[in-house]
Amino acid sequence: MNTSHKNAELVLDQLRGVLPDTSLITDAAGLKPYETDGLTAIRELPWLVVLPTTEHQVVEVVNICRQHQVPIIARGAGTGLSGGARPHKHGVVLGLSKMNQILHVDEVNSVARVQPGVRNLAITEAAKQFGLYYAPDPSSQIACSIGGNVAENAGGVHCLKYGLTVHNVLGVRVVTSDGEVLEIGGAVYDRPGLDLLALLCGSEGMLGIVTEVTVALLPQPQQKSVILVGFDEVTQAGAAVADIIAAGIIPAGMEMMDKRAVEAAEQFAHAGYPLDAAAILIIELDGSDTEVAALTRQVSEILRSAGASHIECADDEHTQARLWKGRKSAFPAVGRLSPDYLCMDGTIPRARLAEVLTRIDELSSEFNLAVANVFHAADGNLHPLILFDANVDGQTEQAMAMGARILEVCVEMGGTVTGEHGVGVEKLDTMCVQFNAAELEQFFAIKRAMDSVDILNPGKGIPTLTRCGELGGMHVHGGHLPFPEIERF
Amino acid sequence: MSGDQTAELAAAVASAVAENRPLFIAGHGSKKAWQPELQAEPLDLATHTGVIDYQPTELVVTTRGGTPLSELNQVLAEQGQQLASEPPLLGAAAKQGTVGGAVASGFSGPARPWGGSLRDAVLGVELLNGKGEVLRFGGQVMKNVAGYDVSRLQAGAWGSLGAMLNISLRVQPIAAATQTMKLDLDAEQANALAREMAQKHLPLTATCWVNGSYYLRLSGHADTVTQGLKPLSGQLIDADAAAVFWQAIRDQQHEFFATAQAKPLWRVVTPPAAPLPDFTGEFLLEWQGGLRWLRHDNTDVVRDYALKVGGWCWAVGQLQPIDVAQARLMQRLKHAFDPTDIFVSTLDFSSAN
Repeated sequence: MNTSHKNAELVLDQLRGVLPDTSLITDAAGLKPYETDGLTAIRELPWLVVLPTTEHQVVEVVNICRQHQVPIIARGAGTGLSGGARPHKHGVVLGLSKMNQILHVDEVNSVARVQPGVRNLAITEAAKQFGLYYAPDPSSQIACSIGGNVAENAGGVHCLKYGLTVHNVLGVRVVTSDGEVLEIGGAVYDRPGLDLLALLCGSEGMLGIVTEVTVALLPQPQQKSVILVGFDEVTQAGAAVADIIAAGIIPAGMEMMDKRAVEAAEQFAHAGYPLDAAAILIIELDGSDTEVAALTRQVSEILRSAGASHIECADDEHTQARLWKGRKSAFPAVGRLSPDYLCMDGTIPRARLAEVLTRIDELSSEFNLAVANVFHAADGNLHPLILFDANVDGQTEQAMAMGARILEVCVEMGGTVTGEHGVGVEKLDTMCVQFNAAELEQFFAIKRAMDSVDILNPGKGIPTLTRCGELGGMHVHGGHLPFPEIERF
Repeated sequence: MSGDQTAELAAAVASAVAENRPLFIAGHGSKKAWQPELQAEPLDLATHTGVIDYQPTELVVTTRGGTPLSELNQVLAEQGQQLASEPPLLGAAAKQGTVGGAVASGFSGPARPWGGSLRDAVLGVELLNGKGEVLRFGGQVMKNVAGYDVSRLQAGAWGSLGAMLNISLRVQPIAAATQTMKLDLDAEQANALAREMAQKHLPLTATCWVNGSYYLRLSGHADTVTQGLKPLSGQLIDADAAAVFWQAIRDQQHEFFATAQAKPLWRVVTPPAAPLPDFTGEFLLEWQGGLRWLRHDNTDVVRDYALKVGGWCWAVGQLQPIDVAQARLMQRLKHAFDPTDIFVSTLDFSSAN
């Protein structure tokens, strides 16, 4: 135990009083897996990990921690990409992995009531027998948990048509920092009063701890078709996306990858992507049999007019899986190109894509770091992957500085610094670019209203005014950050 | 006077704060029937108008808060687009509500279960809070998790947190084909059919049961609509008549909603497949059973029913019922935006009701 907390022994005794031994981790070896989440560049051992099995235990832990001002870092599956579940060395990581029961699949109301530790994909697996599924599908869906999805307002590749987590969650039970249990919503389409559910989605464990989630289930689409398209120019691919939407078509998914991402994915997954293309699109259409057939013809026509150099339509499951495989493995594939990479998560108005990609090229030359671009083209969410080698002195800082510059470009174009990965600790500095002092203060006022004692994931999500002030107008050149003593992840 | 009134509105709030004069945020007043009488001066948003930015291929529109909802609908329709949630136009001609009022009330129309709520479509707001500060949250993009979701928090807040100066909304293409079918069913049969349909591939965009008839609206690709209608044995309604019918339901203009009726009107939101009430009374069902309008004069009976089936109810003109613990939290949130209670609204967090 590495705590300097003055009441450490007392807190521990109290926790032992409410939790079984198997739900309390205090030894270094046991704590090790919790030292980081999906943002592995930063690590810190927590003081303690607690793994409650009931909502009542969550309440007890919160009450003890509040009494002694011990920070609580709620954690789902630890797949978050922005350090939202980064531990606090004097704090408790409250892991929800043992609360992993699917409580009820209610097929007549098309909802499922689940505990927060249930994996995203497990909901769809449980609903499958009724012909239903849970729509949001972040790439980590095999591992990530629904509680974490709510905390991050997770997205996926089907957001334009089927929405984000906030659009697919109808109710939650949540433990506040006062130790109160609130039941918000349920199997109903709206709720009285202020929309606490909207506020909780994407609040990164800073406003409450979710102990139960009611999600909406949708009928599985009757038919799907996947189209792989290659273009000689990135701008043509961007224009084709706009043309499809202008025709009144909302595809289930529409993904773009640039040449470097295609090369990496192809080597890794052998998906049959055209290696000579400057950019590819993967378009998924769904609906009734006749609708999908008609839409596939219509979209193919639009793509030809937009100058596509390669079109492959897949209507069988096997080929569709192959075409998706390259995209879904794009991150690990890029990981093989380079010892390390940093994944950015800006969102831009789609019309500005070409400009943004040009600026990213320029930054890539300026910093001498390669970038592979993976883009949720349908909804404007851009994931530039900055390739670097952490073992080369200064390259990590260079990559982070370049990432911050990319996000500044996204804000300048009318977009945002994070589309779906969250702020966590990683994007605290870039939040200073997107929000002014009064707006940040409004966020803090919300935080104080919901967590007056500031014990829920303190220090995440919203940068302090002091931090932003010290960074004021920060533009990093040559990898030298001002104020190196401030943590900057 | 119209167009951008940001400076004037911010100044009005600042002086109201300085002089401790409570305000209520006023648009067209089209939702007056839903609100208890407010003891405050109006902060007039109705002159703060205009569509600021509209990019049909981005599926995003940004308007000033006072822009008439009917005008926005028209602008979108010219590009073959719409607000997927079909928010109601509640007032009389030319005063049928503003975009800000639509978002603030959080009301969604017949398409809610399939097109999402108006809250779902909110992407960003520029908010004038109770300190007279103009703050921007969210943006014009579909995906955005930078900071707390202050934008969607405004939906259904009835102006308790501030005035929405600008609002960005996600829009949707209007379906290529729409058909409405009328089936002669009693309410039990309609509810049973709704349950059956929920798990099928029907491109439903509205359902309404009233007076012994069940109306189903199917919209989407023409082939899908035709195919979806095949197993149903009902009477197809002429397109114009159907449009009039759904508009009357959306805008609460159908005779069921007529104010001359003696018994109070209840809006009861329940799980869609919840059993129908066993007490007698008139009702109208929407949202595949998820929204039940009731005429009933016994508050306890309606409340007991709503609670029993896992829903909630609200009588027109009464306060919304809010759980005590949640109301306490909402009150603290209100003060985070409006520390001196300058904005008086129809939401009351001060007492358990």
